[in-house]
Amino acid sequence: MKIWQLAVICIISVLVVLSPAQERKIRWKKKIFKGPQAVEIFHSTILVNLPTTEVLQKKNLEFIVAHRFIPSLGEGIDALFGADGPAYMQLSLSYAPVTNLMVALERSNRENHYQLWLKYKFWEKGSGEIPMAAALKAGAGVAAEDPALSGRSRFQARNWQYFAMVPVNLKLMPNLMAGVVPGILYNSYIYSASPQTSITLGATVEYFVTSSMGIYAEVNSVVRGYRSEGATAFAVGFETETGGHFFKIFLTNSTRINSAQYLSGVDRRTEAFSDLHLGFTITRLLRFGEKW
Amino acid sequence: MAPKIINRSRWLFGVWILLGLAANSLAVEWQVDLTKPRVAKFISRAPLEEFEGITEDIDGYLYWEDDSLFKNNEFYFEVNLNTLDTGIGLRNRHMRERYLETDKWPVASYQGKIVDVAKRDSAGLTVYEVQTQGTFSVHGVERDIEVAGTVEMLEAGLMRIKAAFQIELPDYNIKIPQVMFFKLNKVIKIRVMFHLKRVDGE
Repeated sequence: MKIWQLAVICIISVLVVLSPAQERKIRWKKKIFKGPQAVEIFHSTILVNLPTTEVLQKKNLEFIVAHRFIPSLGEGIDALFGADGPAYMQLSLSYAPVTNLMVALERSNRENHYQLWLKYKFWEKGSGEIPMAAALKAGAGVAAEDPALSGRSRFQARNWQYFAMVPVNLKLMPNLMAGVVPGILYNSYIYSASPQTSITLGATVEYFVTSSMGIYAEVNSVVRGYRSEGATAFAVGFETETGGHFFKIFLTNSTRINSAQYLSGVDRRTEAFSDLHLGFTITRLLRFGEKW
Repeated sequence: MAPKIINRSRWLFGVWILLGLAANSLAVEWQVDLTKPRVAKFISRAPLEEFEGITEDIDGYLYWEDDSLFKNNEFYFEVNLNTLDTGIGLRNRHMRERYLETDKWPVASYQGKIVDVAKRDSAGLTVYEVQTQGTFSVHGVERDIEVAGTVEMLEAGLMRIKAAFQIELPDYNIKIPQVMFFKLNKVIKIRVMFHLKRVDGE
């Protein structure tokens, strides 16, 4: 290599090193954020009896107290339209161990019924004109009545019921939500001669008057298989929400609360407004485990 | 004749390689390591209610041009506000839809330079206390701020960043919620922690 060539290389090197304004070649590329991770349609995890696609946030715990007053509205003001009781009630405790999955343990005093279920939101679509989501709720329940009353042991096979529902929810408008809930229940009536199956189809709708107050209706009908005296359960009501905690009050023709009991229909046909029952549900969210 | 052309080509190629090497050896780029823990907290302490919004959606880079650490540096970091989680769904929705308006401005970002560096050793780690100046942007409003932080050199090609600062919501045209169950302090403390990995030469 000639001396002048070496000199050129040295000069170029020095200029490069000393140059204060090199063109920056930053490799980092801006990501396209996809928007909210969770598609929120109905605000609560249940409407009245039918599930929504909403699941608790990871590590959240939810406690629910629900009542269905047994006396109907026809009892009049002297019984506060049934609110004097007695009532079927449900206590529910649910928890979300991981994202999009929650598990719940519930007990209703109707037939001393316990049930355990899982709900998994397996699909959601937040983009487009109509956000939508789908979930699977599946579980098992047992009517663990006192053997002295039922005449059989608490946990024998015929006392167990199994159910699954697939809520599909849509956000039709910013304030209007709707959903369909096909379901199946095995061993619908625990005292039947042989296990029966019920195929059901439910529908839900809620209009949010404000972001924290809504009016809603739901209907669930046994479309095939075993059905109780009345095949179609329905409810209409009002809810208010404060920071994720709900208070719901409604009128319904069904006093059944646990899904394994509710899905097979209602106790008697509804022929008049006075046949309806008052009910309410209170939910309370709790943070569990590590704060963040 | 042919050997001369070959020699000249080799010489030009050598100059080109030297230029490339010189430029590359001076540029150092670090990017947020999306496989390592990272967290951004937005902390509100109000008289009736205290809460934190948290997300791990942090991304960005730190870049400098010289072997001497942080010389002629610049950085850009951003946080996805759509994934900010306060632990309560309704509060998340309110924060996103009513106050941060994340459909219009989905990220909060901080872009600037490290303007002062002090080295210290801490439990065997080399730690740099850094002072930065830059532009913080949220809710469509940009403001110049200064942020102090630490840079911990964990291993070759990996560092951890920690920083804390606070903003006042009215400065960014964010109205303060007045609903009973959702009170915000006008001062929001922001804490971030994330890892950067060196990516130059990949």
